[in-house]
Amino acid sequence: MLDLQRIGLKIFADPPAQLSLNPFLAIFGRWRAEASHPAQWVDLADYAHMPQGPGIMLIGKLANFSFDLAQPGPGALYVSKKDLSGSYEDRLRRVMREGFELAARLAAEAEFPTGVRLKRQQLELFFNDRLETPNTDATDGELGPAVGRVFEEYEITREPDAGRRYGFLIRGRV
Amino acid sequence: MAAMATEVDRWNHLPPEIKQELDIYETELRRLQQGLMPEKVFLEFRLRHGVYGQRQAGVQMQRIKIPLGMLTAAQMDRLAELAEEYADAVCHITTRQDIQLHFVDINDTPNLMRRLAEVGITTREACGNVVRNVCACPRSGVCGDETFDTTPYARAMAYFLLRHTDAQNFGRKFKISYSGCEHHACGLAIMHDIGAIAQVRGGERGFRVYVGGGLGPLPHQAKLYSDFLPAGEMLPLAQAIARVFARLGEKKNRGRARMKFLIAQLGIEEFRGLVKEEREKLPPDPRWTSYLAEAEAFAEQPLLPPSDLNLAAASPQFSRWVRLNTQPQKQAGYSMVTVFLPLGDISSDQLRGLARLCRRLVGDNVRTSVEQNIVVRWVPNGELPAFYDGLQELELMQPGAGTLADITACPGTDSCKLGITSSRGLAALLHEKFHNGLGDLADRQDLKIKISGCFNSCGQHHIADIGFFGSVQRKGAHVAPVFQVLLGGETRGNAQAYGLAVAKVPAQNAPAAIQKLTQLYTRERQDSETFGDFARRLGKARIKEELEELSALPSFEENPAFYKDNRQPWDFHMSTGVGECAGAVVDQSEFMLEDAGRLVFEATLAYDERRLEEAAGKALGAMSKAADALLAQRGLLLSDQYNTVEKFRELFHATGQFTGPFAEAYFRAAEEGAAGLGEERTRRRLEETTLFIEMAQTVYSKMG
Repeated sequence: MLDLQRIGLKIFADPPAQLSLNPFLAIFGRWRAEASHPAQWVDLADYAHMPQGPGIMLIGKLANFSFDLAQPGPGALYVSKKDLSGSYEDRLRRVMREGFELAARLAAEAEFPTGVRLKRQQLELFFNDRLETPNTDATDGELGPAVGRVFEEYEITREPDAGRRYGFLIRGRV
Repeated sequence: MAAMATEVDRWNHLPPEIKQELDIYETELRRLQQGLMPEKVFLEFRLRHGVYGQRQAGVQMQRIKIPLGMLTAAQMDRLAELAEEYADAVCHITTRQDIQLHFVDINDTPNLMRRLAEVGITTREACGNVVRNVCACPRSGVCGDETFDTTPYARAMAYFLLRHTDAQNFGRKFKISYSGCEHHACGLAIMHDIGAIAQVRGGERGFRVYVGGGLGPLPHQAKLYSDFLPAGEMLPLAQAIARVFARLGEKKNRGRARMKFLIAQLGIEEFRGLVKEEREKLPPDPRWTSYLAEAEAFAEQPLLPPSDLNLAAASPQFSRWVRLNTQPQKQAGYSMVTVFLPLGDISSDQLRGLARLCRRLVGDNVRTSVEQNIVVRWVPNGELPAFYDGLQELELMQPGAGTLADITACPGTDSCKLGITSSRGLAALLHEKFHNGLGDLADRQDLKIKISGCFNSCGQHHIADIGFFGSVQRKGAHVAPVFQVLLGGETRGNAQAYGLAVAKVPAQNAPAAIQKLTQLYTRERQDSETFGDFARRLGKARIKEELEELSALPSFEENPAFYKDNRQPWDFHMSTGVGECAGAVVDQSEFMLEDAGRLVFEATLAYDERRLEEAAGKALGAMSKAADALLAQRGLLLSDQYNTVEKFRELFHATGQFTGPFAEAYFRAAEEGAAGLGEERTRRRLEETTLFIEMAQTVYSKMG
């Protein structure tokens, strides 16, 4: 069994063209002080000066969370780093649960920009470990079924570029 | 055991010596985590692999050495991957042409280093009390003003000194830079421990050599060591200087351990004499000159043929970008393009996209720069529009390289234990303002801003026209971040002048201070005087007066915003830790004794797996390493050619300092060798080795 620890889930958003990331600075500036959060926050990393960059990130020992501007589009991004256990499905569901919880919390914050909507039916899932899960058919053979089961209500499209991480674009079925 | 074997097998394709070095790194990390290695020794050990503790507990910065800033497309792809998987998906270019990844888990560092090794990159000696990255002008080989291309000479220096035994026992870091010309800024030779500026005399290539420069809190300009040194003498000179520095450099007082202080103490004449003496004693090394013939003939090759560009129908945006970000090469039909990276940051996606673009249009002709940008060479002029379009898709087309908007900043409180203020926060704020409000200043090419988060000058504030370094000011019960303003430094002429402090301004007022100073310069400048000359002519008193209003710090009650740092919504507080830049002064003997301990540990593992000859050989190696550790205390250096067993017998056994059965065991093992000992004798050798090392530790601890 592959030791899946580094899994990323992005919940796409539809921000206006000139979105200022300063509200996220304020929000994550508060969250970073939560010493008891399960992700074990380390600090905030400010990359607002980078178009299509990582945005404003909360770095944790067990996971990162950010409002990310990178392709294929902006959104709330959760990336686990360690502490996942159980079957492939258990790990995927945990990432989903924690990612969605943080995204919901983010959207409920007072400073969350108006006009920005997180689209829970439009997601990106990727496996952030090219040693353990290279983007190959062998990896897909091993993990694809679990991804299919976890996202059985969705349409999933695998990342075709072998140079990029093994992952999927995921759309809710209309 | 099978799983471990598979993990070890995964890396068998690496060159054996590199694989071994990285396996040793991982072994030592595990030994530290099991409490089997002293923290102080591991600290310097990991620094020498570029692993640097951040101010946030439990995460590391990984510094990646990029000699001369030279990158291939494959390396760029790999760096992009590693940043995504092990860091925050950003590669940061440093002021010494390195790349840094932040927020790395130390347990990821062994595989991170292995994956770098797969593309020919090492992190060895990126940090610590060793020779750091060798820098060189990123325009070497394509610049019309250069005397000759310093690339092969700087590269030879970088790889000659890497892991060199004479460069392992310094009290502090050591920095070298090469410049192809006297007058431009690119090589910054005069602020390095060794700065080399290309010269030709009588048809022979050589260098004007400066020694003992350095910034830090107290900058020193380098002294002229030699007006002309033939190229073939550069490597032995560096080796001789290394030996003098290792022998005589300060090791207890970390604040005075750089070579600049040694030279200041001795004077350049005495220093030169000592180096010449050392040079004469050096056993010849073929590497000193074996690269020279190839270096003379060295010429980088473009991917595509030259071509012309017609700007007549070009858009204003493209024309502006060409004007600010490109320079014609000395080779007709080509330009060098500076990819401007605000704050020196490039995302993984951007770096990967840039690699793709370079593969298509220029090949592997890419360099990082000390301005924290990327210089792409050999772009055919006719391909500049395509290159620009490619950069535009990556959001890397921002004009302004080398302008006032191209600000140098160290990591500051974002990640550095020594940081006092957010240098990056100020740089980011200025970057924003240069697009909104200060836009009229952004394209100025006659001024440079550099920002350090503290007085240690990693942002090189001393050589900026307008430099800032972080400080604090208390008012009542509250502490505010402030910046000391320095004016009049010069990067031109290879860092020919250092700025002087004129005033302190609250961090929130720093952008306004820049606006005020640039407007003053525009208004009152005489003829074509440089900003430095202008500042000196006006005088400190006048400038302080101009900045007085901006220097005032309101009370917390009047304006609490002044008690937050730029881009940080929480209240400012001063929180510096013990910096790792100075590492730990670990005597070379301590490293060698620790290495002996590792070897006997590995010998035990080999014995457990019935690899008896290997076990016996490693045990003998461990005893020799421990013996060499003691011999180093007697002034013997590993580059000196001596027989360890004979010297140990002469200097320690015959003198009564290390006698008894364990010394005898060492002599016996040296005679027996490793083959054919059988299980019992191999086992006994392991036991004797452990006790030999213990005895060596005892003898070492009693030595002065």
